[in-house]
Amino acid sequence: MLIILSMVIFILVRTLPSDPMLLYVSQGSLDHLTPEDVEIARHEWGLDLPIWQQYFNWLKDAVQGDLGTSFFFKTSVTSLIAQRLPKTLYLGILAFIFATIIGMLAGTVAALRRGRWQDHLLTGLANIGICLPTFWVAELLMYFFGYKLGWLPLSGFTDPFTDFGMSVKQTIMPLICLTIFDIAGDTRQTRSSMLEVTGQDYIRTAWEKGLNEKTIVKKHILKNALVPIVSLKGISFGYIVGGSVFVETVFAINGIGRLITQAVIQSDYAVIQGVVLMTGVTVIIANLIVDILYVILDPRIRETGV
Amino acid sequence: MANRNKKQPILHISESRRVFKALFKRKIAVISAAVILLTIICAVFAKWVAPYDPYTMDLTNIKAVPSWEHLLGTDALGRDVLSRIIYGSQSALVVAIVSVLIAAISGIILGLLAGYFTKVVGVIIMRFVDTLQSIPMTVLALAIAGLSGGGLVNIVIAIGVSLTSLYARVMRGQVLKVKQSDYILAEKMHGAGNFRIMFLHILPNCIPVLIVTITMQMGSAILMEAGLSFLGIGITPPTPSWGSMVQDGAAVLTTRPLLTIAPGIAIFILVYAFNTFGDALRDALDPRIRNRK
Repeated sequence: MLIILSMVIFILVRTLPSDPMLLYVSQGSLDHLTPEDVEIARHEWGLDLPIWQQYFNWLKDAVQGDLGTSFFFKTSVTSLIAQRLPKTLYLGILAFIFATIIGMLAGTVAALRRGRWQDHLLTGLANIGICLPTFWVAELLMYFFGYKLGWLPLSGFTDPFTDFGMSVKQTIMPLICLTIFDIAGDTRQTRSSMLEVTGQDYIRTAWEKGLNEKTIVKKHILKNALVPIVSLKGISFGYIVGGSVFVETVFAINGIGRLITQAVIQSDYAVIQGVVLMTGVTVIIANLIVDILYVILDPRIRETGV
Repeated sequence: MANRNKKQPILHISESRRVFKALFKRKIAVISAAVILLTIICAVFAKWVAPYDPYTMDLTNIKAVPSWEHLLGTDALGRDVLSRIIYGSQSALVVAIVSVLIAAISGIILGLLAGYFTKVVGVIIMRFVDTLQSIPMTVLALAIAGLSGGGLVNIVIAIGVSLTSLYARVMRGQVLKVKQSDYILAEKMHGAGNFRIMFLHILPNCIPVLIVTITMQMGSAILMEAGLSFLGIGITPPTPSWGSMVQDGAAVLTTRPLLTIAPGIAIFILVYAFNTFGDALRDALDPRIRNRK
């Protein structure tokens, strides 16, 4: 799986028609832009080798933790990622936790109060939430809370250990943007899978046994409704990474999302390969965890071996 | 659940007519269909609908506030915002329709093959699809579009590729389900070839699910186009795109917030219409939900 991933990424990055060397050489001044210089630079970076050889060179280094050197930052991609990852991870994990809690709560309420105003309100909000463009929400929040009301700082990121108050303030808006889509998705999924379970016979049996609502909801409905929600959460990890591309660009946070945007615009091969590989691996690990959770949640899956 | 026990007269109406009726019984479905239709009309007849040319710069009248002449004002280069939004629907719709079609066709073929030949071919295809899916859609589209230089054609391909894996999965799941049916077995016993079974018998059975997926994916494709254009690697300026309009507006966000708000609302409304219509379509097509409502 990882080998295929690395191959797909490599072929994708190297075969698309972009020439980083033109930009690279012309970076200093335009007088240097002669075909010879471009050739020299290409040789220096090993881009004149056949593609399979480039791939094996990259792979050999990658398994040892060396993802190559950035054309533009002139530093190793591994250290670049190490430097930027904590910010994205910090926001991403917070967003993941908040979205899960709020989304599942809202979905549960909507399912239990099905057809009443709580359901209409929450489902309506969730339907709106999945349609909002992240970058637009970010701009609007910035305008209203940052500029109009002046409650929150416009942009930036502070380490929570150096200045906790500032960090919290700067985290609020990015966090809202990152969570909206996820909260909405979780609400919809929780509601629909809970409704699916509520109609089952064993739930009716539980009611007839005279169990109280709390026990039924917690022990019987939620537990059985959890499998599709967990599988959605596995995917939502990818959405949060995707969202951070926009959020970090708007709020000027130097994280992974901004790094990949810059790298793509500059055709910085090593950085793109490194970041995409890293996000891919993260998602694969997240899916593995989901698979393990499946078995814990639903022992039936173990037998059929899905 | 109560009506399950009730005796239902067997009606001989065609399935398509029943779906049509079930679909348009709901007000929200009618409204969203109308919004989609209206947007398509606006895009096709933009020349006549738009009050101004979207490219004409009026430097004497930049960043104008909304007035009767310019209903949504003008942007930093004096171009009419309303006209640019109307023309922007062309970018949004063209990219969405073509990229979703690319994704659907390639995904359907991959999924059909993977579901039908479950041995070697299926395993190889699904490994590939799983791999594609492990890269977040936004990141994948960003990388493809950016590295191939942006522009209309490239983002269509980029979005198309990043949406493919979903269709392949949906299609494979459907094929695995339909393959179990007796009539496929009967078809096999009659000596029908693999491709005949796949395209003439399995594919038509998956069409309802595919239509729903396609409608729902239109929204994602529109959001992605807007996102890529926002980042500056989508539709090439000066061609109007809602995403790049939000980006342009961001520069004057503090003084003219409307330049950012208006195109965003356009994105939201169209995406919402597609999603809601897709939801309604699924409910109308899914016989399990049909009885519950």
